Amino acid sequence: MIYSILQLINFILTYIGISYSQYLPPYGALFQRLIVDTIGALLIFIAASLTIVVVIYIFRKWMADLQQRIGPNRVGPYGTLQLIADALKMFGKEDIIPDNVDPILFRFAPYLVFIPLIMSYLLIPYGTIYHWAIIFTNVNVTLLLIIAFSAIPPIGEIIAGFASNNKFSLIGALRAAAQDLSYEIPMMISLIGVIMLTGSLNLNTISQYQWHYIPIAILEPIGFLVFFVAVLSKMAVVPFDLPESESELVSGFNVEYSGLRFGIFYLGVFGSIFFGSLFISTVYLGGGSDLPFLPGFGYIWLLIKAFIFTFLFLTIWVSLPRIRVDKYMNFGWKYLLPLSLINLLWTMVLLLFIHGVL
Amino acid sequence: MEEKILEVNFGPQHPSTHGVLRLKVKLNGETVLSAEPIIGYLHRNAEKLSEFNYYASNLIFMDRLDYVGNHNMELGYVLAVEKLAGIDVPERAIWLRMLFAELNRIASHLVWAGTMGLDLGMITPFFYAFRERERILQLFEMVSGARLTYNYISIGGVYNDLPNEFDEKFKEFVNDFPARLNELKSLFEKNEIFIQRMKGIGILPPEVAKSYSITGPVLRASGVNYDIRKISPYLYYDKVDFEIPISHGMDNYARFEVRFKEMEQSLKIAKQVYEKLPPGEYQNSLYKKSGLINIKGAGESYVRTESPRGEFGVYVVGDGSKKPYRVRIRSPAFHNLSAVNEMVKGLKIADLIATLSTLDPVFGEVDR
Repeated sequence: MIYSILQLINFILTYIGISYSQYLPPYGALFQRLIVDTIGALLIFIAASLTIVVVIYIFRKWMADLQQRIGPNRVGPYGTLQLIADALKMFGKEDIIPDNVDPILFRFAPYLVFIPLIMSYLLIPYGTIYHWAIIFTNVNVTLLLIIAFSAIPPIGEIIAGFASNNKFSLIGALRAAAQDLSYEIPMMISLIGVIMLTGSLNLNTISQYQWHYIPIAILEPIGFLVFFVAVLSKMAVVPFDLPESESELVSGFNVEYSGLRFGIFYLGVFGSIFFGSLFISTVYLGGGSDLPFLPGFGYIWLLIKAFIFTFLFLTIWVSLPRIRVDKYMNFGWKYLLPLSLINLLWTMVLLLFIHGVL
Repeated sequence: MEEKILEVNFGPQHPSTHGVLRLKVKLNGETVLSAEPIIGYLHRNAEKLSEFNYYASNLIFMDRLDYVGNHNMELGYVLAVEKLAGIDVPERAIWLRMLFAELNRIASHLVWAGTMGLDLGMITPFFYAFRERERILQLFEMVSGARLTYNYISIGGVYNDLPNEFDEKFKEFVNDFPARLNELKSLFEKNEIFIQRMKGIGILPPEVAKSYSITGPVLRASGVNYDIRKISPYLYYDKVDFEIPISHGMDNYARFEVRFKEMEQSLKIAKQVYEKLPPGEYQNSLYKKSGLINIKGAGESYVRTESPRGEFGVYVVGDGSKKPYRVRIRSPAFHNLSAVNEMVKGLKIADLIATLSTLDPVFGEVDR
């Protein structure tokens, strides 16, 4: 009985990629495995949450710098504790659920946005497999899993918008759905180029490939560009923050949210910014591959790359206006999609060249 | 499938209605079918209240009309009362009034530029615009002691002469401003998304503009050369050299261009005024302090001035007592706002907000 429950848990953990035991080990080892995996998962959960907090702090300071302000500087040294104060304030707020909302979906939606995001943090290899590195999972379909996880948050946004019983949030939800369709297809097609090149869906293999040869961003510049823009729209920040667009739709799909649930949406935005940076630097810029003169510090290189991307995304956020919905659809379907297909073609040519046919 | 029309109330509590406007918007998906402005949420009864107060006390109501272009509001009322009561104004005061009216025009347009950026989702230009506005406000604070409701232009002159430290601060501002303005402008006009959002959106043909009696930068962006400062000069506007920027674009981008050019022209006027500033009295000594209460007037007078938003007219009727019999205000923002339905039909929601922001309404003045 217990064994079969453990079997089930192990199966689920394997399936979502936390554990990489493909078959069921004997009793003791299974327990060990489970405990180690659970602790590891918890650690990465805490680490991911902390990183999000750091990203928010950096964002506020960096944004203030760009806008000739000072930014948070009152709570703690250099305002570092400001976010903790904000979080405490947010958690202490009254939990308001408006009348006539769908109570279950309304409560459920924020978690649907946030949990898949945190889980996808577990799938990134923090370092190369050759050296000491933080790698939680080595399933062969990491890339597919990440895409699957990243497809869930827009659904959470749509549910939040529909459940809120508010016209603004309804429009926001419809925008989220439309936007989701127009970026996800180019994003996946540009990833197919990477898969063709490396012959693997495993992020470990992909980053090793780049460690052995050169970053894929150099081999496939068009694919990199398309992926960059798609990731930018996936984060739903300016210029692509159509579901939120606070100047038109007040706050879009999360109009009716307050307190803790709003806080979760807020964390989700910054979480997806940092995850997007991690993902793009893993797939296109070698990720955790370490330099020859600093072996074993792959995760530091990954973090450096990711933070460079984070700064880039944040700078784009503060400097651009919001694109209009119909123009965005045009952009997604008429430019991004053909470009990603061209990238596919280019990859084929590249492969022929690599295999010595051309 | 049945097509359903979604009716949404934009405002009165909405982040980009520039105050408390309520727009009854009918939507077909994202497309705006009609937008009916509903006003009156900031009605403060300025016109009627003015009948129960001394001529000089009414100035505070004028201050609160257009709360980002206060000097121009005060100016209109003060000119009307002076015309009614036949009050002489010293020459220096007239130049000072011009100086502050033009500085205020710059400050007002800066607020507009910042909030327009916010309406389009750009956060950063707002801070750049307000940084410059802050320096103008410091100049105002120096002479009037206030940062929002200045009460500076008073009947018979101005409240105070320029303090000693004004000279340095003003010259510093005048030196820095053109470069800063270019920087702010480049944040907008070098941005492809911004141009896409503004060009060809919110078309207002000149005939329609005239039929709605639209004035100010909005009219001039439709290609009509109409500026009170030129066609019926008040103060000493005929003694300074400046141009009226006009654009034939008729769209949001034209209004954006016209306002930015207007800031340059206002700075040009302010510079000239400061050079021409004669020494002497700044206030008619009959109307200093308690003398202000004794203003009496009979008959009627109408004065129109060019406020940052357009033609601002004040009509004052006096019955010979110390209080006006009737005060009526012609509000430019009210007339400009009335055309919003014409301009946004068939546009998207995002364009509705952008168009509204280029009309630049201030609701203290619309509702009065």
